[in-house]
Amino acid sequence: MRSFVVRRLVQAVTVAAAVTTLTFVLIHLAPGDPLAGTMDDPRVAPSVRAHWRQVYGLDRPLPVQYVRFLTGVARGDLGFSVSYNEPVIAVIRRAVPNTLMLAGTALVLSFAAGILIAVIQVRREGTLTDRALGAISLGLYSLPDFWLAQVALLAFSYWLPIFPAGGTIDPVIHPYLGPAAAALDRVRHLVLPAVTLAALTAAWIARFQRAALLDVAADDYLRTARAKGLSEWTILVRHALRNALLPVITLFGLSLSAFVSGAVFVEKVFGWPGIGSVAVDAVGARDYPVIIACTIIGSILVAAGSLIADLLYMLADPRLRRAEGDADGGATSAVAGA
Amino acid sequence: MADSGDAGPAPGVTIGGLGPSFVAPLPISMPPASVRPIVPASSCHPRVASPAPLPIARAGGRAGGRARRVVCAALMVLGAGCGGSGGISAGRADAGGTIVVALAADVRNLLPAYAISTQDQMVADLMFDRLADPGDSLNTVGDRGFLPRLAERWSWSADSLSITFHLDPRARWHDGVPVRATDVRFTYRLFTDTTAAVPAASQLAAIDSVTTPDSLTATFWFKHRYPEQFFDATYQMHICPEHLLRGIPTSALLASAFSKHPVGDGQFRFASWTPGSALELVADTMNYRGRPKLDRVILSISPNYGAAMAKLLAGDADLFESVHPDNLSEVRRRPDLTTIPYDDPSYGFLWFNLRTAKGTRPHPLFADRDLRRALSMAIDRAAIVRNVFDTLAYVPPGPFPRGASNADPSAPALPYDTMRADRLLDSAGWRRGSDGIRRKGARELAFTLSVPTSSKTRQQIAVLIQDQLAHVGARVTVDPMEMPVLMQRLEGHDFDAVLQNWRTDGAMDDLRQTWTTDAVRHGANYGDYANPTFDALVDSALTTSDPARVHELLHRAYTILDNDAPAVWLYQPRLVAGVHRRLHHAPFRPDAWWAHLADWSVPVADRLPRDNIGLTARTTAQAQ
Repeated sequence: MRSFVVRRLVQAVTVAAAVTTLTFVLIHLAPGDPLAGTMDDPRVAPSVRAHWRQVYGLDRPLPVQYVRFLTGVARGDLGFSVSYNEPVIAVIRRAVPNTLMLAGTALVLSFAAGILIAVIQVRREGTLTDRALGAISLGLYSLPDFWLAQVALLAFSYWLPIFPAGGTIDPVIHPYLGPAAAALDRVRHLVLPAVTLAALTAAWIARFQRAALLDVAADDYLRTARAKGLSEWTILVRHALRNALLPVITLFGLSLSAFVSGAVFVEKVFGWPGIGSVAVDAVGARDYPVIIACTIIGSILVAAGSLIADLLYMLADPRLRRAEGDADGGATSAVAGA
Repeated sequence: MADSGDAGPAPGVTIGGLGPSFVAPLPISMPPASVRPIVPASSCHPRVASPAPLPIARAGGRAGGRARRVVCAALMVLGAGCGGSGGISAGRADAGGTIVVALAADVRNLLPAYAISTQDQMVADLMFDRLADPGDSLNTVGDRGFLPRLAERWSWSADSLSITFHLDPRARWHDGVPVRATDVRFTYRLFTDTTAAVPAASQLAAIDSVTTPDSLTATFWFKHRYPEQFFDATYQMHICPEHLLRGIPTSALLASAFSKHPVGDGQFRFASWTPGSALELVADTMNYRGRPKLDRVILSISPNYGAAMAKLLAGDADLFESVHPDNLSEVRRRPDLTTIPYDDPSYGFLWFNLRTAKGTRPHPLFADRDLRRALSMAIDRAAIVRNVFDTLAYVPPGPFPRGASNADPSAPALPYDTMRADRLLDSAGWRRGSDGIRRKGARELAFTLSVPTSSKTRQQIAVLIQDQLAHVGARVTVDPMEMPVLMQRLEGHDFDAVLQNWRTDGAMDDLRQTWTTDAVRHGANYGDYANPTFDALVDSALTTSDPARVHELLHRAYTILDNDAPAVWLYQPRLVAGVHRRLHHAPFRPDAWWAHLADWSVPVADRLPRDNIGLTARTTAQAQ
């Protein structure tokens, strides 16, 4: 297990480095520079822009900028954001928790809802309930997330003003709330974007889980359990689901990075100041350090998600644990023998 | 007592030189709040990115507003210790209230020296005072109409080469330190320090130095006399605290702690800032100009226009400064909202590039003056404004918004005359082909019109221009691009034609920075227009003290500009703000609708729960 984790970490660092380098080159090749858009004012002299290009190192050759960037990263310095006027670390530190909160909540909601819907569908296979849930999940799966977000905002912030129109907190009263009320305020602001994000993925997971459950439905052990007199719900949840969860567990890990990147539209519509929103704004403003930082985070999340997926899979499937253990033991024996 | 212009000079104060001899331009006429445009139309505002209309339908806004108020009240009950009894703050019987302003773009910087965007300027204006304020007349010539701020009075030297400001001894920074003349001198030095690269530095080029004869007196010394001396000395700089900034290297200013927690001297003080979320200002109850009537100003930041409008319509915000015409009807249907139109001090224009290849060669098309004139006459500007803006824009006769110091309503303008345009093109050798497109030898009358993707209005205008010019045989390709790309093309003089919009501060000097030959290298004259006669007229106008002579010189300069047609002046937009009815607001000043925000109030009977939080709650909450 240990060697497996180490191998994956090495792979992750390699992938992150390669993706970051590629991103660095591509964004610098794109037209437009970080200062042109922020100084759309005729009173700002060209000499001022030239000065700031020099300060930010934008007038240096690309290889020099890349080396400067690498040495900064080695020191833990991701650079200075031209559009936010603060270190990139500060921008990321503020945005990542917001996205993790949104994506994490949506992730849990989507899997819980998706699995529940799939179980109900399989339990009611062939009935109107199964078909209705299948149609709804197909419909949700087909919807673009930015459209659903707009409709949710319209429906539940305007037509039925139950939830706030955006943001993570109520800027007016939040600083003056006690802990319980402040938590409730955050939850109220989280509901719409999280449910929007979760709804689309839940539909996809439900369909996937349903197919996995149907795959194991005809297995012998289930016939045995049925013969023992267990109820259908017990058979489904305690026996079938455990085996049918394996592919969905893999999805759980991979979905982490997908949620973070997929939250971009939802973050923009709901004014949720997360990393997706920051990344989009940075691309528009040509804020190179922020773009690269977001790329690094994305790479880390993909690698982490993949590692988590594999680890969860191994935890869930004893056969994989034994196989990995044999591989580690064989290596140890070989070393000992040598 | 300061010379406020209208009241006449105070006894004992010497006014000389350019001070009282200028006649301020006519004040900008602002229609009363009861005037409504008949039909909403698109508005253009470069500050608002991609103002896509919301898919709004009729809804029960009234019930929604009540529901939200109930929820807010419930949250406040849950959050015990919230200072609900903190009600009206001491100092003014009518004090109290909170205004939540929805912004469609983030505040990026709290240092007034680097405030470029409208959001940043608003924050700077509310937290930091200038020496004097131009007042509602927005006069930039002489000192007529200027209102005392940090300077309670001022005087001119007999030769008008210096202005002495006497500071109000009551003025204090928000940390309690008195505002002193050394702050003024420090600010001037900071703004003109080349290592600081402050954007407004070029506006202070005519100021030689600032001296401080005593702790409450600052004297500005000028290199030469010109009409806008007073404007440059006061409007261009928010005075900054020397005691907090002097130890910070200029290269570290933007990342300094002060830039995140500024200490100003204005009627509102900084409370908190969460980038991407909200910025809160609270009333400075001990301010030398008096306590503002409002307790708090909260800038609620949204990522885009749609999200900001949603906040206004949902009752989460009290004001949105620029409601898109497509959403005006919805705002007007709301019983708790009203709309307030006001002029935008900007003008939009079609810009021809007269030289290409980074200015090294004449443009193959637009170096020809007759061609530019012909294309100008082929554009029906009035129809474009009607189509895109309806009644929410004007057609400017030149490169200035209405009410600006360099405005000349009588400036000549090429007429809309397609027959004359055709004749001019024919006589210039541009013959129509079988496809209707004109050619001159092998060259086709075809060019690319660049527009920013962030402006839906300019994209609409581009399509109309494309159609209108097709009637005279020109093939126009509309090329939308992101603003950073567009600005890069402009700076590199690498474009054919572009739809641009300049926001001005109303000063005459704007003309020099955008249309003179010197501005090609040192300003924003990206189209490379150069006419020595025009330059001479502008220079003379900017240094002449006689208002009648200034008007005559500018008129002649605009006549040359009209003849040369380096651009087609298309529109000056009118903005419409959506405002909650409970707010009793002061008149909107075009360059800064927030200019009188300290005078806004909320009657006690109309207050919402968020108006009653008061100022003590923050201290209590922080203590917890």
